[in-house]
Amino acid sequence: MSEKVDTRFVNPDLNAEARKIRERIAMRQDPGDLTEYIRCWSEDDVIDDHPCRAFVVILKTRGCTWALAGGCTMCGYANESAWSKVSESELVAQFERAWGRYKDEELVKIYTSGSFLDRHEVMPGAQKRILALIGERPSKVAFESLPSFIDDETFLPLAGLVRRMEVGIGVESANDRVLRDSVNKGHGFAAFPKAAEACRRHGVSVKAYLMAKPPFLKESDALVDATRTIVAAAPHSNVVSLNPTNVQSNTVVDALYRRGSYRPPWLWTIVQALLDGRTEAEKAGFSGILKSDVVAAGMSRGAHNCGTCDEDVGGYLKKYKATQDKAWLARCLADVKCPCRREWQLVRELGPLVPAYGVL
Amino acid sequence: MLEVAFRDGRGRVARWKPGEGQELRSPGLLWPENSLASPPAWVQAVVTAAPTARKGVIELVSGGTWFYPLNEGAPGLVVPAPQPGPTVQVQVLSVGQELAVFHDAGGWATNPKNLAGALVEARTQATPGRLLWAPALGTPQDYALWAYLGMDLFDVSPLLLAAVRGTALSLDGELSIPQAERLFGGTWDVERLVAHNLEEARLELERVRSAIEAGTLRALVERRVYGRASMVEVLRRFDREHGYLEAATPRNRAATLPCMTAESLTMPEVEAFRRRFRDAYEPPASTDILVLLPCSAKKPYKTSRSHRKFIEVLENSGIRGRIHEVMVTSPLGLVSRELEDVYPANRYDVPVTGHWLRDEEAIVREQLAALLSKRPYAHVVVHMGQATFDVVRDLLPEETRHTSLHHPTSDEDLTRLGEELARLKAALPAKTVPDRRLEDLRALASFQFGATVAADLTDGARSHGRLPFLKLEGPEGQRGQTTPERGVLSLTPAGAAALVRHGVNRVFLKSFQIKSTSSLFAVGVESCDPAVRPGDEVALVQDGALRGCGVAEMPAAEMTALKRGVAVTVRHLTGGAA
Repeated sequence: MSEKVDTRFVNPDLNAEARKIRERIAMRQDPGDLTEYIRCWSEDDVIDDHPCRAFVVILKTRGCTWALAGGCTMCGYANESAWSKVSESELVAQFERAWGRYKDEELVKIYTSGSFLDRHEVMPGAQKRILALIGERPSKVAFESLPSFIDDETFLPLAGLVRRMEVGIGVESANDRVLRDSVNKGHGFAAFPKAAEACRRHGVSVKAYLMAKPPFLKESDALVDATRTIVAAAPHSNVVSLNPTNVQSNTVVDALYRRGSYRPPWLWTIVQALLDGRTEAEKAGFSGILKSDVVAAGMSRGAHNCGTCDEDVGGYLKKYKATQDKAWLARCLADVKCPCRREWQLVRELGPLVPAYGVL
Repeated sequence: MLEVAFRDGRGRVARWKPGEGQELRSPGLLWPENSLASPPAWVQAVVTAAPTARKGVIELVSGGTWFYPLNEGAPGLVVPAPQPGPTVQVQVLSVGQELAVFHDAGGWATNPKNLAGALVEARTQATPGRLLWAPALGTPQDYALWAYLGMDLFDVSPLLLAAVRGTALSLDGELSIPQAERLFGGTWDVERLVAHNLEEARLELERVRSAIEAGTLRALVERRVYGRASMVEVLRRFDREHGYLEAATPRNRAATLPCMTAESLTMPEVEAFRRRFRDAYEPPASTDILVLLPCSAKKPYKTSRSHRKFIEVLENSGIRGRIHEVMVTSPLGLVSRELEDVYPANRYDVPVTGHWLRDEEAIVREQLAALLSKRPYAHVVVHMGQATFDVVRDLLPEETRHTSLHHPTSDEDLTRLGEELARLKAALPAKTVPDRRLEDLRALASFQFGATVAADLTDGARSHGRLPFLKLEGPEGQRGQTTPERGVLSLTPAGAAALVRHGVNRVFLKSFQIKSTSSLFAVGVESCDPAVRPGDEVALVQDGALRGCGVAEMPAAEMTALKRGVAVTVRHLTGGAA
């Protein structure tokens, strides 16, 4: 296990299971061409309240250091890792190939299946050469990292290469017990404000990723947890993104789902958490972006309601995301009169009283 | 206080009184508090986040969830929050001294393959000394199945969730609102669905309790499971894990055992009978002529018209003492005359059409192959219809005689049987059978206790009396006798001594003065041989010495785990008895 991992936030049993499950990943046998990136595309996004185009590239790295040791219970990105060493020159070659398709998008997003700032995954030379290639054409470059890889030394060699940087950090929950016994995160919540401070000192924007309903949480837990985490993360973040857990293959969540003991969050939970979290965060002075991108919405492996109202609710979430006006969330709860709201309420009431997962 | 009033296999009707004025009967329902509905008056236990020490109802206090706990350190029956663990791990939570929770039973049950192992694990971890709550599991359609598999308590969450989804629950599965309106009339809203689902649940749990009392739970389960493939799958998996269901299956019941379905072929009492016949049973020693006969609808067979006719022919042959009469039947396969009073041979009920299912044929053939390997019969006579003869023909010696060409009870066929027996009498060297009844008792004892105990029990003994009260008498006195109700040997202390000598069916008592000859309570049991089932003859052993004998009323595991209830109905006490 990496020295960067805080064992107080590791659940040994869950970690062992996560590691065992990840041994099934096919890429372990054949990582393919290591100078070939995984995917690259262009999509709509937003910068500072205005819509823009974003250039997205996913690099094939050796994988997340934490996932290699076991790692987070819900994360399926390891399915796209090489699981073997990828050198600095191979990583740069991957990016060069992708960069040939760049069409002056205002935003560039570089994803690995781990941390761009992890020097063992993306070597400092590769970090520097990739950002130098991008240069000043886009107005912002976004990537992701575990907080343990973020400190002043991380940013010093990268200074001045691009116009602006944004780091996405997986905060998941403000409840340390959730971080240990649900997510198996490998660090506590306190690591996030510390990393965010380092970002701030170097003029780097912070995007916080929160997890709605990670495994072993009831729907009732999920609403409380997501709301409290929004409030706790907002003061340290420019953007807060609430991600409903979806069921990705070769994860502990997937094993739990197959056992019949996991249901992704209700869309109602997402709407309510965004509304309550935003309301309270604004009271404390938050004026940044709070959004939720629902992956596999309406599907049984993604956040969903009853199937009848999913599209309606999704529409309100999109309007809220675009306008950042929480009135859309309140309107969603007032206007979408689906009978499944009663089921959602009953599920949350029964959750703490009935020791079972799955529907609850 | 927990006391099991009735048991039928793993199904138990128990009275649980955790406190003054609180009583619940299992299988029963728990009521987790909610804003959708208030508990009906018949609810005996609630689960609450806000305990109020209420009177007249059992109050289980929620410990909340692992991440957001509630009521930490609260007094009363707190249900602890389950801790996350590996997804393959079964978790059982203890509540007080007499209740356990099979955490996430509802989740496990979505996959019948995983469920079987998880449920056995949970029931074993909980021990028989605790009621087991299966949270989020159970609807009217499947309560019988879960109770049969050893679940004692359910909660109303599946009933309420079905109601808010617009579903009315019935014994045949789910009804939509339009279906319910057509069936029952009126307008159906959530409120009516809630009331309907709760009432269906109450009624079915009452039926399940009645079936356990009557000893007819298996038949109820077989009727219910055919409504849903996953339920049949669960039952089949459990039938194949005989260790679990069979360990609690009684040796005797007052009720008829219906064998109506494909699942009946593998039910544990039937499988146990067949296994004992194959493995433990030794045929009477003097028999060298095997006569295969058809079964009869009336039980025991000998009381039927057809068998009275067969018996008359056999009796008149003059060689009945060397004939082994064996009935071919489903689902028991073979039942020999000495075993026809033994449960379930004496009380099963099976539809008879003359057509054999392939599985039934396989069963008969397996049992017959086992019997033929035990005993080198000089002659085999088959007095059954052609279709049945064809099922077993290739297993039998070439010179086997088939004596039923039309109908086994027709005069013509009966005459042919008599003629064949007369021919054998003339052809075979004469043979004296000194005490065939003793041989039959020994065969019966081998089925009941194994061949070693049977040899010991009958060594130096003689038989006297007439069936159904055949006595086994040793030089030291009576060792046992058969009774029509049980069909097996009931032992005296002289007979039970053989059990002790061979380490079979012993119940070890704690050190206390046994006073009454009627009941030994579970609290007095130290340990017990694991093969003991309700209805078994057992020897009572105290401080290394035989103290008496009787009939087990509980399976072995319950004798040591329970604190209340009769473990053994005592027939005789010996030595220091007051």
